[in-house]
Amino acid sequence: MKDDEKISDLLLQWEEAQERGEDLAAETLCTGCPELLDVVQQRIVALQRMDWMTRPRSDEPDPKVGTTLASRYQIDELIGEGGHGKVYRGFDPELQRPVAIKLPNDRRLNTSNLLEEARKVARLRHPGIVTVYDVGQHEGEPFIVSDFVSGTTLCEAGSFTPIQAAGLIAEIAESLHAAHEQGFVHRDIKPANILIDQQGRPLLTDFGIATATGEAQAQVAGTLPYMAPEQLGDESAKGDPRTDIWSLGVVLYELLTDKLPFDHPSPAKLSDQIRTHVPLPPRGINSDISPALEVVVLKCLAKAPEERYETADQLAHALRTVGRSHRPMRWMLLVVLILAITLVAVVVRQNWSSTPTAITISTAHLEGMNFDGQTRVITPLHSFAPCTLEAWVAFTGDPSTQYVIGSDVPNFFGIGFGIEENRPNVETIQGGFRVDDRTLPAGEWTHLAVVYGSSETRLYISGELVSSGPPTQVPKHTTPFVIGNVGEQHQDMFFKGNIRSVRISDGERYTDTFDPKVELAPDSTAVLVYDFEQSSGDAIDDLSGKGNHGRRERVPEP
Amino acid sequence: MSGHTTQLQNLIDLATNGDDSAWEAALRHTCERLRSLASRMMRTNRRVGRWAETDDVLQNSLMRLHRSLAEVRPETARQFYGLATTHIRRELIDLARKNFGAEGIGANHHTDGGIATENKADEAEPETVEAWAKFHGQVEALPEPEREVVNLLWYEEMTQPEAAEVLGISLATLKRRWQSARIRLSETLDGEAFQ
Repeated sequence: MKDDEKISDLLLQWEEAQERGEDLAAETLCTGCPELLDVVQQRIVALQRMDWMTRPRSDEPDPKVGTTLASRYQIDELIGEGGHGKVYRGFDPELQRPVAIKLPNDRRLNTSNLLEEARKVARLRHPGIVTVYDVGQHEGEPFIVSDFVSGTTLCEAGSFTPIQAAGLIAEIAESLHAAHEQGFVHRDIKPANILIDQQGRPLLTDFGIATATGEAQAQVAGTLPYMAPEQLGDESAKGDPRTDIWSLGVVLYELLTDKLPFDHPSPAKLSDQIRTHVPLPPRGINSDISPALEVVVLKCLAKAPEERYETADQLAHALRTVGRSHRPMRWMLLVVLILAITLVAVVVRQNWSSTPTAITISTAHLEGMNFDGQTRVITPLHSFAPCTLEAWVAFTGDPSTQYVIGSDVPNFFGIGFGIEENRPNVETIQGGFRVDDRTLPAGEWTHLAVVYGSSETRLYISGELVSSGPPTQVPKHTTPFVIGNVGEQHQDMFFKGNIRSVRISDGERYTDTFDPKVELAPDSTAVLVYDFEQSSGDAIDDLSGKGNHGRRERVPEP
Repeated sequence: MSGHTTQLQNLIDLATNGDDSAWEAALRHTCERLRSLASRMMRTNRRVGRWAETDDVLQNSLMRLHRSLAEVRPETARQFYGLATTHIRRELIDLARKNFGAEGIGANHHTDGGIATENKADEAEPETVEAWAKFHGQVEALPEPEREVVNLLWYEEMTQPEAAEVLGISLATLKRRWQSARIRLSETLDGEAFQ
């Protein structure tokens, strides 16, 4: 028998053993033919790597996927699954739009109640509430068809600063208030029922569905910790708007502290905690929370409904006030600045605002290199971490401006930073963060620095530490840093404005507040220093002495 | 003959005798496979939102697949599957290119926020749509006997006995081809040789 056939036989033996749940070592297989051991081992590794091909059915799409519901809705993809049932992305060919299809499968629920409730909810229209389009029964099972929201649930939405969390919950409270005014109570507010769309806007879903499930709801994992005291116990009151305020308070508490105010694996003990225990003040867990914000959270979590905010609108107002009082001076500054823009219309400096400024200022007269939205500089330096990226930039104020330094490859994040909708934006391999409460001044020089450290990622604006996030993972792809664009293989997300100088350093250059030098000088940790004031033409000299000379290029418009 | 192969052979028999509804059922089955495989490929992109926008593209792919298969009348199940899976692969590659190539909506990915995809240890299952496109391309490049086996076992999800029957080969031969196909794919996808 030829070696290849022999190897193949041995591997078949190995595979058959695997199917029986046994792991046959290559050494055992090759007892009689030690000369084949190496190649057999290598091929076992190959087969293991392709093991996913042998079990397609384990990853088989849900049996409902690919079928048509109620002779109308195509079921395309399972997008969520929980105690109550499954949620699919579907398509409505009649109205030619994507839809979300919910198939509740909780046997304890009362189908006719559910459908009746869903029909009522279908009349509810609000931009912060997911619209129900249709309800019905298919083969005896209820279904609910609603608007398909591109995005994620709050469960997967990542972390928020206290101010961001307060702003988000305020927005939800406003939507909730609109529903309460129309006579609807949600009764099941929890992160899984809060969707965050691609613009970061929260939307409430599953409105009123909880009514149909009644007490069974409490048994469903993930819901009980958000239930109000009055929803528990023998009386099992249906609750009113203040019940929703409690649940929203629990969500806010969780966003602020990463912990639930009441948490116990036993449902009975958890119910008991909710009814009788006072939660740990959130500032005891996260000292970044302001005292005023803590007061708001604890008021939501008052055991007696009459001690909570009376309406969700009051809660929203309280949260908005906390957000403003956190930075009272900046509001004053904003007023002054708006006057300055009106009168002089030259330079805008806006430090706090809920919406980006749309004023575009030409930076062509400034020094440095002008990046017009199609210009970039490709460096030969491959992205790495830990590192420090910094640049002196003056952007035009155009909200479409993007990356100062980037290193993305398509479909993957890179190490880089830029400005998104006038706010600083830091990208790490696993995602990154945006600083929502800081807009950058247009038309004037600002020093931006991002330290990709081993324990965190820090963003400095003009030497002031303004935000930090988790450390970046090490780049998986070999790809160069690009100045003025998100990545070498991308022809979008360009910087618009002027860049005077760029320095990339090995390791963490800044650990504390610093005074940025006008000149980014070469030193022992700098691995790339470009001074665009000194360069003319397309060849950019690296002043660090490391030979990382760059090349300016214009990318034609797609 | 067993399972859906019998059903398909019957359909083909009926279709060649002029029963168009039978032929339609065979085409629908193939379109469902494309939809399901596209969905699997798309799931690698955890940012579900992107895919809301691809529905039109998938619809177009399905229409094209339907049209190209409707033009031919294969006489055997084997011929049909060979053709159907080739078209499915082409559509999947096209879908990946349209959505994640330079011109695609997914290329401009960063507004999705920072949801990272976890790598699975030790396995080479494609984790990006680009990697899926590469995988389908490598299957296309396999020697014919191995490709046919992958077509039936992986793309059509037949059982091994069903596939052996369609191809008219022994189960042992089928197992060997299936094994060598996976080893070859692992090599080419890895860029490493095992010799």
